Amino acid sequence: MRGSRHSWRSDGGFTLVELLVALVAVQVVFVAAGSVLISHVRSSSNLELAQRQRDNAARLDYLIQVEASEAAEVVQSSTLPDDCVAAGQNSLATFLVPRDEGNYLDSSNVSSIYYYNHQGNVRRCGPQVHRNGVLDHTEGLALVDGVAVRDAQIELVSCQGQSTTSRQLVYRLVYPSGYQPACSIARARTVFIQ
Amino acid sequence: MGRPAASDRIAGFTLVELLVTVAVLGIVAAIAVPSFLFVLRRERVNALAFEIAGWLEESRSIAARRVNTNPDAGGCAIVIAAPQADAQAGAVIAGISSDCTSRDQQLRVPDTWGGRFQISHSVPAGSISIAPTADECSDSGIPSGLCTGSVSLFFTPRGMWSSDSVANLSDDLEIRIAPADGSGPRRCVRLSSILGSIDIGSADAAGVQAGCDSYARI
Repeated sequence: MRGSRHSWRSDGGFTLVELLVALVAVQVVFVAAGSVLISHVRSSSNLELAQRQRDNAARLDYLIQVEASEAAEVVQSSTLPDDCVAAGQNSLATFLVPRDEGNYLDSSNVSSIYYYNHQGNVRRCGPQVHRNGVLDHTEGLALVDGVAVRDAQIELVSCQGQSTTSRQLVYRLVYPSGYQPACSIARARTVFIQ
Repeated sequence: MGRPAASDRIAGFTLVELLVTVAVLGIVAAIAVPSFLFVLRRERVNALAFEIAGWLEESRSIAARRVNTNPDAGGCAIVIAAPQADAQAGAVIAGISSDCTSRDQQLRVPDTWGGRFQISHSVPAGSISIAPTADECSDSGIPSGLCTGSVSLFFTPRGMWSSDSVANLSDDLEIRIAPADGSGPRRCVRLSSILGSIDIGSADAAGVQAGCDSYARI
Protein backbone atom coordinates (compact mmCIF):
# COMPACT_ATOMS: atom_id res chain seq x y z
CA MET A 1 0.00 0.00 0.00
CA ARG A 2 0.97 3.60 0.08
CA GLY A 3 3.83 4.58 2.33
CA SER A 4 3.51 8.33 1.97
CA ARG A 5 -0.05 8.87 3.20
CA HIS A 6 -0.36 11.87 5.45
CA SER A 7 -4.08 12.46 5.59
CA TRP A 8 -6.89 11.12 3.39
CA ARG A 9 -7.44 14.60 1.94
CA SER A 10 -3.95 14.67 0.54
CA ASP A 11 -4.72 12.21 -2.27
CA GLY A 12 -8.53 12.30 -2.21
CA GLY A 13 -9.14 8.60 -3.04
CA PHE A 14 -10.09 5.40 -1.28
CA THR A 15 -7.79 2.45 -0.92
CA LEU A 16 -8.91 -0.99 -2.05
CA VAL A 17 -9.27 -2.10 1.56
CA GLU A 18 -11.57 0.79 2.36
CA LEU A 19 -13.71 0.03 -0.66
CA LEU A 20 -13.99 -3.63 0.23
CA VAL A 21 -14.94 -2.81 3.81
CA ALA A 22 -17.60 -0.41 2.57
CA LEU A 23 -18.90 -3.05 0.15
CA VAL A 24 -19.15 -5.66 2.88
CA ALA A 25 -20.91 -3.18 5.17
CA VAL A 26 -23.45 -2.35 2.48
CA GLN A 27 -24.01 -6.06 1.81
CA VAL A 28 -24.63 -6.75 5.47
CA VAL A 29 -27.23 -3.99 5.54
CA PHE A 30 -28.95 -5.35 2.43
CA VAL A 31 -29.00 -8.93 3.69
CA ALA A 32 -30.46 -7.78 7.00
CA ALA A 33 -33.12 -5.68 5.29
CA GLY A 34 -33.96 -8.53 2.90
CA SER A 35 -34.36 -11.11 5.64
CA VAL A 36 -36.58 -8.74 7.63
CA LEU A 37 -38.74 -8.23 4.54
CA ILE A 38 -38.99 -11.95 3.80
CA SER A 39 -39.85 -12.84 7.39
CA HIS A 40 -42.49 -10.13 7.38
CA VAL A 41 -44.09 -11.48 4.20
CA ARG A 42 -43.95 -15.01 5.60
CA SER A 43 -45.44 -14.11 8.95
CA SER A 44 -48.24 -12.09 7.40
CA SER A 45 -49.12 -14.99 5.10
CA ASN A 46 -49.05 -17.30 8.16
CA LEU A 47 -51.35 -14.89 9.94
CA GLU A 48 -53.71 -14.88 6.98
CA LEU A 49 -53.75 -18.69 6.98
CA ALA A 50 -54.44 -18.88 10.73
CA GLN A 51 -57.21 -16.34 10.38
CA ARG A 52 -58.75 -18.35 7.53
CA GLN A 53 -58.54 -21.57 9.57
CA ARG A 54 -60.26 -19.89 12.52
CA ASP A 55 -63.01 -18.51 10.29
CA ASN A 56 -63.62 -21.85 8.65
CA ALA A 57 -63.68 -23.68 11.97
CA ALA A 58 -66.20 -21.17 13.33
CA ARG A 59 -68.37 -21.64 10.26
CA LEU A 60 -68.34 -25.40 10.52
CA ASP A 61 -69.21 -25.14 14.22
CA TYR A 62 -72.14 -22.90 13.40
CA LEU A 63 -73.44 -25.21 10.67
CA ILE A 64 -73.07 -28.33 12.79
CA GLN A 65 -74.83 -26.63 15.72
CA VAL A 66 -77.71 -25.63 13.43
CA GLU A 67 -78.02 -29.04 11.82
CA ALA A 68 -77.68 -30.88 15.11
CA SER A 69 -80.37 -28.76 16.68
CA GLU A 70 -82.74 -29.73 13.87
CA ALA A 71 -81.89 -33.39 14.19
CA ALA A 72 -83.75 -35.94 16.26
CA GLU A 73 -80.91 -38.43 16.29
CA VAL A 74 -77.15 -38.64 15.76
CA VAL A 75 -75.87 -41.84 14.15
CA GLN A 76 -72.23 -42.83 14.00
CA SER A 77 -70.75 -44.54 10.93
CA SER A 78 -73.65 -44.99 8.58
CA THR A 79 -73.06 -45.90 4.95
CA LEU A 80 -72.88 -42.98 2.54
CA PRO A 81 -75.51 -43.13 -0.24
CA ASP A 82 -74.80 -42.90 -3.98
CA ASP A 83 -75.15 -39.12 -4.20
CA CYS A 84 -72.14 -38.60 -1.96
CA VAL A 85 -68.62 -38.46 -3.34
CA ALA A 86 -67.37 -41.27 -1.11
CA ALA A 87 -70.45 -43.46 -1.66
CA GLY A 88 -70.21 -46.78 0.13
CA GLN A 89 -67.81 -45.58 2.80
CA ASN A 90 -68.93 -44.78 6.30
CA SER A 91 -69.77 -41.33 7.51
CA LEU A 92 -68.26 -40.08 10.73
CA ALA A 93 -71.57 -38.78 11.97
CA THR A 94 -75.03 -38.58 10.46
CA PHE A 95 -77.83 -36.31 11.58
CA LEU A 96 -81.36 -37.60 11.08
CA VAL A 97 -83.59 -34.58 10.58
CA PRO A 98 -87.35 -35.22 10.59
CA ARG A 99 -89.04 -33.99 7.41
CA ASP A 100 -91.41 -31.07 7.63
CA GLU A 101 -94.24 -33.10 6.11
CA GLY A 102 -95.67 -36.54 6.66
CA ASN A 103 -95.77 -38.59 9.82
CA TYR A 104 -93.25 -37.31 12.35
CA LEU A 105 -93.33 -40.58 14.21
CA ASP A 106 -92.31 -42.60 11.15
CA SER A 107 -88.62 -43.22 11.72
CA SER A 108 -87.97 -43.43 7.97
CA ASN A 109 -89.51 -40.01 7.33
CA VAL A 110 -86.20 -38.26 7.89
CA SER A 111 -83.55 -36.52 5.81
CA SER A 112 -79.97 -37.55 6.55
CA ILE A 113 -77.02 -35.18 6.71
CA TYR A 114 -73.68 -36.95 6.55
CA TYR A 115 -70.37 -35.55 7.76
CA TYR A 116 -67.22 -37.41 6.80
CA ASN A 117 -63.50 -37.09 6.11
CA HIS A 118 -62.40 -37.63 2.54
CA GLN A 119 -59.01 -36.97 0.94
CA GLY A 120 -57.90 -34.59 3.62
CA ASN A 121 -61.07 -32.53 3.68
CA VAL A 122 -64.18 -32.50 5.81
CA ARG A 123 -67.19 -33.05 3.59
CA ARG A 124 -70.90 -32.71 4.12
CA CYS A 125 -73.43 -34.60 2.09
CA GLY A 126 -77.04 -33.69 2.61
CA PRO A 127 -80.18 -32.09 1.24
CA GLN A 128 -80.06 -28.80 -0.64
CA VAL A 129 -81.16 -25.64 1.08
CA HIS A 130 -83.83 -23.16 0.11
CA ARG A 131 -82.93 -19.52 -0.16
CA ASN A 132 -84.03 -18.91 3.40
CA GLY A 133 -81.61 -21.55 4.63
CA VAL A 134 -84.20 -24.22 5.40
CA LEU A 135 -83.45 -27.75 4.21
CA ASP A 136 -85.30 -28.86 1.11
CA HIS A 137 -86.82 -32.13 2.31
CA THR A 138 -88.44 -33.05 -1.02
CA GLU A 139 -88.24 -36.80 -1.26
CA GLY A 140 -86.09 -38.14 -4.07
CA LEU A 141 -84.23 -34.85 -4.54
CA ALA A 142 -80.52 -35.42 -5.13
CA LEU A 143 -78.27 -34.77 -2.15
CA VAL A 144 -75.56 -32.13 -2.42
CA ASP A 145 -72.06 -33.12 -1.47
CA GLY A 146 -69.41 -30.53 -0.87
CA VAL A 147 -66.34 -29.61 1.06
CA ALA A 148 -67.23 -28.11 4.41
CA VAL A 149 -63.65 -27.44 5.54
CA ARG A 150 -60.55 -27.93 3.44
CA ASP A 151 -57.31 -29.44 4.67
CA ALA A 152 -58.78 -30.55 7.94
CA GLN A 153 -60.15 -33.64 9.64
CA ILE A 154 -63.05 -33.99 11.96
CA GLU A 155 -62.77 -36.52 14.77
CA LEU A 156 -65.01 -37.72 17.55
CA VAL A 157 -63.54 -36.99 20.94
CA SER A 158 -64.62 -36.87 24.49
CA CYS A 159 -64.91 -33.33 25.67
CA GLN A 160 -65.76 -31.96 29.10
CA GLY A 161 -66.58 -35.48 30.18
CA GLN A 162 -69.08 -35.96 27.33
CA SER A 163 -68.88 -38.19 24.32
CA THR A 164 -70.95 -38.79 21.22
CA THR A 165 -74.30 -40.48 21.79
CA SER A 166 -77.50 -40.80 19.79
CA ARG A 167 -78.49 -37.35 21.06
CA GLN A 168 -75.23 -35.44 20.73
CA LEU A 169 -72.15 -35.13 18.59
CA VAL A 170 -68.90 -34.36 20.38
CA TYR A 171 -66.20 -33.55 17.90
CA ARG A 172 -63.05 -31.64 17.24
CA LEU A 173 -61.68 -30.19 14.03
CA VAL A 174 -58.00 -30.96 13.45
CA TYR A 175 -55.79 -29.02 11.08
CA PRO A 176 -52.54 -30.75 10.14
CA SER A 177 -50.70 -27.60 11.15
CA GLY A 178 -51.47 -24.23 12.59
CA TYR A 179 -54.60 -23.34 14.51
CA GLN A 180 -56.13 -26.11 16.64
CA PRO A 181 -59.76 -25.41 17.56
CA ALA A 182 -61.23 -26.57 20.85
CA CYS A 183 -63.72 -29.44 20.96
CA SER A 184 -67.44 -28.75 20.59
CA ILE A 185 -70.66 -30.43 21.64
CA ALA A 186 -73.64 -30.29 19.27
CA ARG A 187 -76.88 -31.56 20.73
CA ALA A 188 -79.84 -32.91 18.83
CA ARG A 189 -82.72 -30.82 20.08
CA THR A 190 -85.73 -32.16 18.24
CA VAL A 191 -87.97 -34.28 20.46
CA PHE A 192 -91.36 -35.81 19.86
CA ILE A 193 -94.04 -36.18 22.42
CA GLN A 194 -96.46 -38.96 21.69
CA MET B 1 -6.79 30.70 -17.98
CA GLY B 2 -4.31 27.89 -17.81
CA ARG B 3 -4.91 24.51 -16.32
CA PRO B 4 -4.12 24.55 -12.62
CA ALA B 5 -1.04 22.67 -11.64
CA ALA B 6 -1.67 19.04 -10.71
CA SER B 7 -1.02 19.67 -7.03
CA ASP B 8 -3.67 22.46 -6.92
CA ARG B 9 -6.49 20.47 -8.50
CA ILE B 10 -9.36 19.42 -6.27
CA ALA B 11 -9.88 15.74 -6.59
CA GLY B 12 -13.09 15.14 -8.64
CA PHE B 13 -14.57 12.83 -11.27
CA THR B 14 -13.83 13.14 -14.94
CA LEU B 15 -16.62 13.09 -17.50
CA VAL B 16 -15.64 9.57 -18.55
CA GLU B 17 -15.88 8.28 -15.00
CA LEU B 18 -19.32 9.82 -14.61
CA LEU B 19 -20.52 8.35 -17.91
CA VAL B 20 -19.29 4.90 -16.92
CA THR B 21 -21.11 5.18 -13.57
CA VAL B 22 -24.32 6.26 -15.23
CA ALA B 23 -24.06 3.44 -17.75
CA VAL B 24 -23.53 0.87 -15.01
CA LEU B 25 -26.51 2.25 -13.08
CA GLY B 26 -28.56 2.06 -16.27
CA ILE B 27 -27.68 -1.60 -16.77
CA VAL B 28 -28.54 -2.46 -13.17
CA ALA B 29 -31.84 -0.59 -13.45
CA ALA B 30 -32.66 -2.38 -16.70
CA ILE B 31 -32.21 -5.70 -14.91
CA ALA B 32 -34.21 -4.58 -11.86
CA VAL B 33 -37.20 -2.98 -13.58
CA PRO B 34 -38.88 -6.12 -15.00
CA SER B 35 -38.79 -7.87 -11.64
CA PHE B 36 -40.08 -4.72 -10.00
CA LEU B 37 -42.93 -4.62 -12.51
CA PHE B 38 -43.75 -8.22 -11.65
CA VAL B 39 -43.91 -7.31 -7.97
CA LEU B 40 -46.18 -4.40 -8.86
CA ARG B 41 -48.54 -6.63 -10.90
CA ARG B 42 -48.55 -9.20 -8.13
CA GLU B 43 -49.45 -6.62 -5.51
CA ARG B 44 -52.21 -5.27 -7.74
CA VAL B 45 -53.89 -8.63 -8.28
CA ASN B 46 -53.44 -9.43 -4.58
CA ALA B 47 -55.15 -6.19 -3.64
CA LEU B 48 -58.07 -6.99 -5.92
CA ALA B 49 -58.28 -10.58 -4.64
CA PHE B 50 -58.44 -9.38 -1.03
CA GLU B 51 -61.11 -6.87 -2.00
CA ILE B 52 -63.24 -9.63 -3.59
CA ALA B 53 -62.76 -12.03 -0.67
CA GLY B 54 -63.64 -9.33 1.84
CA TRP B 55 -66.77 -8.33 -0.01
CA LEU B 56 -67.96 -11.93 -0.28
CA GLU B 57 -67.33 -12.45 3.45
CA GLU B 58 -69.32 -9.36 4.25
CA SER B 59 -72.20 -10.46 2.01
CA ARG B 60 -72.22 -13.81 3.76
CA SER B 61 -72.48 -12.27 7.18
CA ILE B 62 -75.24 -9.90 6.06
CA ALA B 63 -77.16 -12.90 4.73
CA ALA B 64 -76.80 -14.71 8.05
CA ARG B 65 -78.99 -12.10 9.74
CA ARG B 66 -81.78 -12.17 7.16
CA VAL B 67 -84.00 -14.98 8.35
CA ASN B 68 -87.32 -15.46 6.57
CA THR B 69 -90.00 -18.12 6.64
CA ASN B 70 -90.58 -17.85 2.89
CA PRO B 71 -88.39 -20.48 1.17
CA ASP B 72 -87.79 -18.12 -1.77
CA ALA B 73 -86.81 -15.12 0.31
CA GLY B 74 -84.34 -14.41 3.08
CA GLY B 75 -80.60 -14.51 2.82
CA CYS B 76 -78.97 -12.37 0.15
CA ALA B 77 -78.80 -12.85 -3.60
CA ILE B 78 -75.55 -11.98 -5.35
CA VAL B 79 -74.98 -11.54 -9.08
CA ILE B 80 -71.46 -11.99 -10.38
CA ALA B 81 -70.99 -10.00 -13.59
CA ALA B 82 -70.01 -11.55 -16.91
CA PRO B 83 -66.28 -11.97 -17.65
CA GLN B 84 -64.43 -8.77 -18.55
CA ALA B 85 -61.24 -8.53 -20.59
CA ASP B 86 -60.14 -5.08 -19.46
CA ALA B 87 -61.66 -3.88 -16.21
CA GLN B 88 -60.40 -0.60 -14.80
CA ALA B 89 -60.93 0.99 -11.40
CA GLY B 90 -64.65 1.31 -10.77
CA ALA B 91 -65.75 -1.59 -13.00
CA VAL B 92 -68.47 -3.69 -11.38
CA ILE B 93 -67.47 -7.29 -10.52
CA ALA B 94 -70.52 -8.31 -8.49
CA GLY B 95 -73.52 -6.82 -6.76
CA ILE B 96 -75.80 -7.70 -3.86
CA SER B 97 -79.57 -7.43 -4.22
CA SER B 98 -81.09 -4.16 -3.06
CA ASP B 99 -83.00 -5.76 -0.16
CA CYS B 100 -79.67 -6.44 1.55
CA THR B 101 -77.86 -3.32 2.70
CA SER B 102 -74.13 -3.65 2.41
CA ARG B 103 -71.35 -1.12 2.93
CA ASP B 104 -70.78 -1.47 -0.82
CA GLN B 105 -73.82 -2.60 -2.79
CA GLN B 106 -71.50 -3.32 -5.70
CA LEU B 107 -68.09 -4.91 -5.61
CA ARG B 108 -65.93 -2.74 -7.84
CA VAL B 109 -62.34 -2.87 -8.99
CA PRO B 110 -60.44 -0.69 -6.49
CA ASP B 111 -58.07 2.00 -7.64
CA THR B 112 -54.74 0.18 -7.74
CA TRP B 113 -52.83 3.02 -9.34
CA GLY B 114 -53.53 2.25 -12.93
CA GLY B 115 -54.15 -1.50 -12.63
CA ARG B 116 -56.30 -3.09 -15.34
CA PHE B 117 -57.57 -6.61 -15.03
CA GLN B 118 -59.07 -9.59 -16.76
CA ILE B 119 -61.87 -10.87 -14.54
CA SER B 120 -63.84 -14.05 -14.98
CA HIS B 121 -65.89 -16.54 -13.02
CA SER B 122 -65.55 -20.30 -13.23
CA VAL B 123 -68.94 -21.09 -14.82
CA PRO B 124 -68.43 -21.48 -18.60
CA ALA B 125 -70.82 -19.36 -20.67
CA GLY B 126 -72.55 -22.39 -22.16
CA SER B 127 -73.25 -24.16 -18.90
CA ILE B 128 -75.06 -21.53 -16.87
CA SER B 129 -78.29 -23.30 -15.89
CA ILE B 130 -80.49 -20.36 -15.00
CA ALA B 131 -78.91 -17.00 -15.71
CA PRO B 132 -80.03 -13.95 -13.72
CA THR B 133 -82.81 -11.99 -15.37
CA ALA B 134 -82.34 -8.39 -16.51
CA ASP B 135 -84.32 -7.28 -13.46
CA GLU B 136 -82.08 -9.24 -11.11
CA CYS B 137 -79.01 -7.71 -12.77
CA SER B 138 -80.28 -4.15 -12.46
CA ASP B 139 -81.42 -4.81 -8.88
CA SER B 140 -77.84 -5.79 -8.05
CA GLY B 141 -76.39 -2.86 -9.96
CA ILE B 142 -74.84 -4.98 -12.71
CA PRO B 143 -74.58 -2.94 -15.94
CA SER B 144 -76.80 -4.35 -18.70
CA GLY B 145 -73.73 -5.06 -20.84
CA LEU B 146 -72.40 -7.44 -18.19
CA CYS B 147 -75.69 -9.27 -17.56
CA THR B 148 -75.37 -11.85 -20.34
CA GLY B 149 -72.90 -14.36 -18.97
CA SER B 150 -73.41 -13.38 -15.34
CA VAL B 151 -74.28 -15.89 -12.64
CA SER B 152 -76.37 -15.59 -9.52
CA LEU B 153 -76.03 -17.25 -6.17
CA PHE B 154 -77.51 -16.75 -2.76
CA PHE B 155 -76.03 -16.85 0.67
CA THR B 156 -78.47 -18.34 3.15
CA PRO B 157 -78.89 -17.60 6.86
CA ARG B 158 -77.77 -21.18 7.48
CA GLY B 159 -74.26 -20.32 6.33
CA MET B 160 -74.47 -22.47 3.22
CA TRP B 161 -74.81 -20.98 -0.23
CA SER B 162 -76.72 -22.22 -3.23
CA SER B 163 -77.24 -21.17 -6.81
CA ASP B 164 -79.62 -21.66 -9.68
CA SER B 165 -76.91 -20.81 -12.20
CA VAL B 166 -74.49 -23.54 -11.22
CA ALA B 167 -75.52 -26.88 -12.67
CA ASN B 168 -73.68 -28.97 -10.11
CA LEU B 169 -73.90 -27.56 -6.62
CA SER B 170 -71.00 -29.75 -5.58
CA ASP B 171 -68.67 -27.56 -7.66
CA ASP B 172 -66.76 -24.67 -6.19
CA LEU B 173 -67.31 -21.23 -7.62
CA GLU B 174 -64.29 -19.10 -8.42
CA ILE B 175 -63.72 -15.51 -9.40
CA ARG B 176 -60.46 -15.36 -11.35
CA ILE B 177 -58.37 -12.30 -11.97
CA ALA B 178 -55.17 -11.53 -13.86
CA PRO B 179 -53.57 -8.40 -15.33
CA ALA B 180 -55.32 -7.21 -18.48
CA ASP B 181 -52.15 -7.21 -20.59
CA GLY B 182 -52.21 -11.01 -20.67
CA SER B 183 -49.37 -11.48 -18.20
CA GLY B 184 -49.30 -13.30 -14.88
CA PRO B 185 -49.86 -13.82 -12.07
CA ARG B 186 -53.40 -15.12 -11.70
CA ARG B 187 -55.45 -15.17 -8.51
CA CYS B 188 -58.63 -17.14 -7.80
CA VAL B 189 -61.08 -16.30 -5.04
CA ARG B 190 -62.76 -19.62 -4.36
CA LEU B 191 -66.12 -20.09 -2.74
CA SER B 192 -66.15 -23.73 -1.64
CA SER B 193 -69.24 -25.71 -2.47
CA ILE B 194 -71.84 -25.94 0.28
CA LEU B 195 -70.37 -24.02 3.18
CA GLY B 196 -68.75 -21.32 1.11
CA SER B 197 -65.44 -21.00 2.85
CA ILE B 198 -63.54 -18.37 0.94
CA ASP B 199 -59.90 -18.74 0.08
CA ILE B 200 -57.50 -17.18 -2.36
CA GLY B 201 -55.44 -19.28 -4.71
CA SER B 202 -52.60 -18.38 -6.99
CA ALA B 203 -50.97 -19.43 -10.22
CA ASP B 204 -48.04 -17.83 -11.99
CA ALA B 205 -49.65 -18.44 -15.35
CA ALA B 206 -51.41 -15.67 -17.25
CA GLY B 207 -55.05 -15.27 -18.18
CA VAL B 208 -58.25 -16.35 -16.49
CA GLN B 209 -59.21 -19.42 -18.51
CA ALA B 210 -58.02 -21.95 -15.97
CA GLY B 211 -58.15 -22.20 -12.19
CA CYS B 212 -55.35 -21.85 -9.68
CA ASP B 213 -52.98 -24.57 -8.55
CA SER B 214 -51.93 -23.39 -5.11
CA TYR B 215 -54.27 -22.46 -2.31
CA ALA B 216 -51.78 -22.82 0.52
CA ARG B 217 -50.28 -19.33 0.48
CA ILE B 218 -50.47 -16.40 -1.84
